[in-house]
Amino acid sequence: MDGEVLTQPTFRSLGWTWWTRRPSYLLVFLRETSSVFIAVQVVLVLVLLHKAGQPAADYQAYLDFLWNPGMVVFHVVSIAFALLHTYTWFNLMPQTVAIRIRGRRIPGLLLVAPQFGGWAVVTGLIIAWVWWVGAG
Amino acid sequence: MSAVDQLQHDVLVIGGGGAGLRAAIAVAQEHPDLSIGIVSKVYPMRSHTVAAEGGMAAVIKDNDSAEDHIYDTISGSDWLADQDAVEMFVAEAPRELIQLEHWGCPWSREATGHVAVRPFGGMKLQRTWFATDKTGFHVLHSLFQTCLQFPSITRYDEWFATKLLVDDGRCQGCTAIELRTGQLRPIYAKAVIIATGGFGRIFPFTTNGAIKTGDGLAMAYRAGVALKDMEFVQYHPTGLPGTGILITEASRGEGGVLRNNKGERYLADYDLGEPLPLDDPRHPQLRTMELGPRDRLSQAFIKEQEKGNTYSGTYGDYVHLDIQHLGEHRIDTKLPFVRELARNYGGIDPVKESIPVRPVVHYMMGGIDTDIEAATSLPGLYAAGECACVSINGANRLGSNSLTELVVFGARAGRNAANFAHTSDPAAVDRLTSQVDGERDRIRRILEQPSGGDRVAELRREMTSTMEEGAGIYRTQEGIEQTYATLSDLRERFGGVDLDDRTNVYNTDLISALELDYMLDISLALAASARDRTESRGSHQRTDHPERDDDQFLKHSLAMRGDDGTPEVSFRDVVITKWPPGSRTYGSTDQAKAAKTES
Amino acid sequence: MSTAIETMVKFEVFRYQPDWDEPTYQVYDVPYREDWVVLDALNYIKDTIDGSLTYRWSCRMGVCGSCGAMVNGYPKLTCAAFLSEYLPGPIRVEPLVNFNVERDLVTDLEGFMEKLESVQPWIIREDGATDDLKSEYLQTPSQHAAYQQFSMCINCLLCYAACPVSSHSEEFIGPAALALAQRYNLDTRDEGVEQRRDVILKDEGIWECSFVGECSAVCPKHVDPAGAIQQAKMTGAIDYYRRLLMPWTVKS
Ligand SMILES: Cc1cc2nc3c(=O)[nH]c(=O)nc-3n(C[C@H](O)[C@H](O)[C@H](O)COP(=O)(O)OP(=O)(O)OC[C@H]3O[C@@H](n4cnc5c(N)ncnc54)[C@H](O)[C@@H]3O)c2cc1C
Ligand code: SF4
Ligand code: FES
Repeated sequence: MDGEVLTQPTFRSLGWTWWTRRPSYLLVFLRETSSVFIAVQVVLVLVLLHKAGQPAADYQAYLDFLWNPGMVVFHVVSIAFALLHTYTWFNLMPQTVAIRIRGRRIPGLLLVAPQFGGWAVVTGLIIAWVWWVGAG
Repeated sequence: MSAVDQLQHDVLVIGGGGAGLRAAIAVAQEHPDLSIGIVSKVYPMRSHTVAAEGGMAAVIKDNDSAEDHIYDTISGSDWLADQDAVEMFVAEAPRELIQLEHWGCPWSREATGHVAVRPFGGMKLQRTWFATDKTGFHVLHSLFQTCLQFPSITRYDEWFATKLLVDDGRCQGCTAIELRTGQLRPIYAKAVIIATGGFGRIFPFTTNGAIKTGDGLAMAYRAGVALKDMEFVQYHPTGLPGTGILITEASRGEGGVLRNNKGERYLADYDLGEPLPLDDPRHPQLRTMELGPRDRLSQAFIKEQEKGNTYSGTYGDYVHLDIQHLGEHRIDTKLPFVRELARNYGGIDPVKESIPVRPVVHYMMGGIDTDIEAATSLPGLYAAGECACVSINGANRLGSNSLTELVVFGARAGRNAANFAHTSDPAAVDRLTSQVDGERDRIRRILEQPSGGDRVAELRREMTSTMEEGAGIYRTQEGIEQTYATLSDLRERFGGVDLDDRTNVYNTDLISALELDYMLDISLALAASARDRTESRGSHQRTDHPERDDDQFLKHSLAMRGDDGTPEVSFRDVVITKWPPGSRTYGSTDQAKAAKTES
Repeated sequence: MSTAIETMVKFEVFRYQPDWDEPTYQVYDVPYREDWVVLDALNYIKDTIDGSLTYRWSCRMGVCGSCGAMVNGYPKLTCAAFLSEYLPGPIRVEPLVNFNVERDLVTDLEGFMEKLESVQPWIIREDGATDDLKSEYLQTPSQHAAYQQFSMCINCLLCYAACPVSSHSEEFIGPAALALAQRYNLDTRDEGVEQRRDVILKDEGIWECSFVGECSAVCPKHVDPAGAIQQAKMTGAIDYYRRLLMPWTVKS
């Protein structure tokens, strides 16, 4: 009732292994980690563009480097991450953008579907272009 | 304790629900120079105002008039409301609701952008403002968030007030336990406002949350203030069996109907008018059938039960509330919370099935005796909200008048307490120390009581069950006397109450014991008042005195605590201004109008 | 209804008192009832087995926000967590993580209260003082709908217990308080966007959120605080570029 007061709260956090605690956390962890791979990939492409302007031997050496097994594995992993990132990111769009028509929020699918559609079209165009360049 | 950390304010508000917050803001806005304390045993946004669903009445539409709202309230009260108070209440209501709107309350709207109104039981016109079916939640959070902006308000969240400090015939603060440390401390003030809410928890089956234990009433009662009209207990006709969770009256306001186990709309047999087919555009009719007042609907349930027309289930008998014909869209836009509650706690989807419901203790008309200025008989002490009895509710409160009462009288209490504080001396701290020490001893005795006595939960269970037996919807002399005797016995046994928890930090076992102590006091006052009112009026129905008796009982009951702790009941005349007592007719608006012009 | 042998469910409840070095888990056997929620079981324990068990509750209808706890590791309102979902048990009940624990299931809310106050969750108007209260501010149903969802927060703080950012940064204003800031910013009656700008945009504000989204997944009232924060980021970003590229369109 009176006298000395004893309060001694204890703290409980999710800890540094938080991302192992549930599947949804793991997915977010992977989504965020994917950006590291994508960043590295971008750097590699920039270097490639730079090498293209260098003597042919340099360029060829860089191509050989990219074809080494480690790099191939890296690219396969990166593409998987890129797909994961894109997929999760598109799906989050309805939460980020609230478009209302006559007071009602438009359904999430209307925001998500065009993105996947656009993605498919752009990918198709790139493949076609590569094909065309390769054939020509 | 040194003078430095002495807790002292100009105005101290006990209670952080709708009424307490409104009062505190009134002081802060009108007298920015005054320091204000709010003591609340839970964080203010947990207060039970949060659970109110249906809405809040005030005249705002062109087709409505103050006269009509006054008449509905007075006839609804079975003429036990003070008419000067009702007139003032109805006049100040619209401004207070607009004030809430300006503070951000998300009222549901019409296409024009004006606030929307819905029909409610006992009201002749649509005048109930609503924020879907979470009105109380929105009102409470709007008030709480608004109050955060005033630097003159200090909050004591999770402090449990235990006793009023009175010296020289003036209330000068209270003692309170800080739950986090378990310390009992005095908080001094020049004026005190009690806004501690109702006390449905004295009954076993109630819509009221765990915190509604009537502490404030007991504190005022122990300080020599009378408790008024305690015998009037409102049963709401539609609670979910088992949990007692409320299915709001708005479900009937939107057109829901009640049916017995034969599928009949049984209210037709109880003088509440003729049922219209559900597809009739005039359904639901105001002041008719399902939109009759709560006391009459709950009484009709008991009669049906006696006739064997109710369903029986694990948690007692029930009838059906049917809203299926409203359709999914209307239910989801107007009554989303009803659907959520029925699904989660009733296990049924009201879009496809009827909701099982039964009467449940909901609201206490009685409370701390105050005048129209929210002042009690003890100078410096004010009360507002469900804990107070002005009275505008008389023998039966109309749904959606209570939330309005919180803000109208909360604001009044705030203004008046502020004016009182302005002209008063600070608390006489030196002279109050002995009271503080005495209170500390009282609580320490409970805390350190040797084991062997009854547990809190056991005493509480016996108290609630005797209240239901003797002081339920229908009462008799014999039943009430039995209840009174049982309560007196429990009072004795409480002296030896045995706690499991004897520590300081967040000792909720101790808090439950203190709450039980308060509940026993006010239950006794309730039983004594119910025993002495030998008539039937509104929610107080005596099978041994079935008629209303205006000659003897057009009066408020006043229970005072005698020296030995037992209640002494006296009576005081009701204030009648323009509406002499008439008969309460429901059934159609025309009938009601006729009754009104006759009178 | 009464069967010969009652089914019992084991509860492992987190216990802690300030003078203990370590928390412990205490085991209680509670009879199983189909319509019971975890809160009913806690009340059963307190009323019949152990009156010293400490937790908060009031409304038991999912609206007061008092009764949040971790139930088998997930943040839940104990009054809305049915035993039937956790059969056959055991059911582990712990205080919400990412908060200080005062005792048993009772956590310290003061930090949250400060964050809430910091976002100024009230209507800010230029005409505030001269308001004559003659009539309501008009607001159409669609204007109302724009913020309605974010006004449904009951401050239960389950979202903070689900948020890894809150777990690692005590300063992060966090999901519920940021959603409420957004609620007022989107309200047509409010004119306080500028006043709230600095708090929302500072380091501990919206930009600290990495869009884990678990706050919205656990929110019992479908407030979608993650969505509120993302929308605020979008507005913040557009606003930033507008200030940078078209300063003349920004009121000073
Ligand atoms: C389920 C339900 C639905 C309802 N629906 C409606 C409706 O639609 N329309 C309508 O008009 N009315 C409705 N009512 C009635 C109305 O909600 C209540 O009458 C009203 O909210 C009471 O408000 P209050 O401010 O008086 O008390 P409360 O909101 O109950 O607050 C009491 C405050 O006092 C504090 N307190 C209590 N004891 C102590 C103590 N010892 N020490 C410190 N603090 C203490 C508490 O912490 C709390 O802050 C409903 C009631 C219920 C239960
Ligand atoms: S946002 Fe949802 S989870 Fe977070 S406090 Fe509010 S209601 Fe609870
Ligand atoms: S007890 Fe109120 S939300 Fe669970």
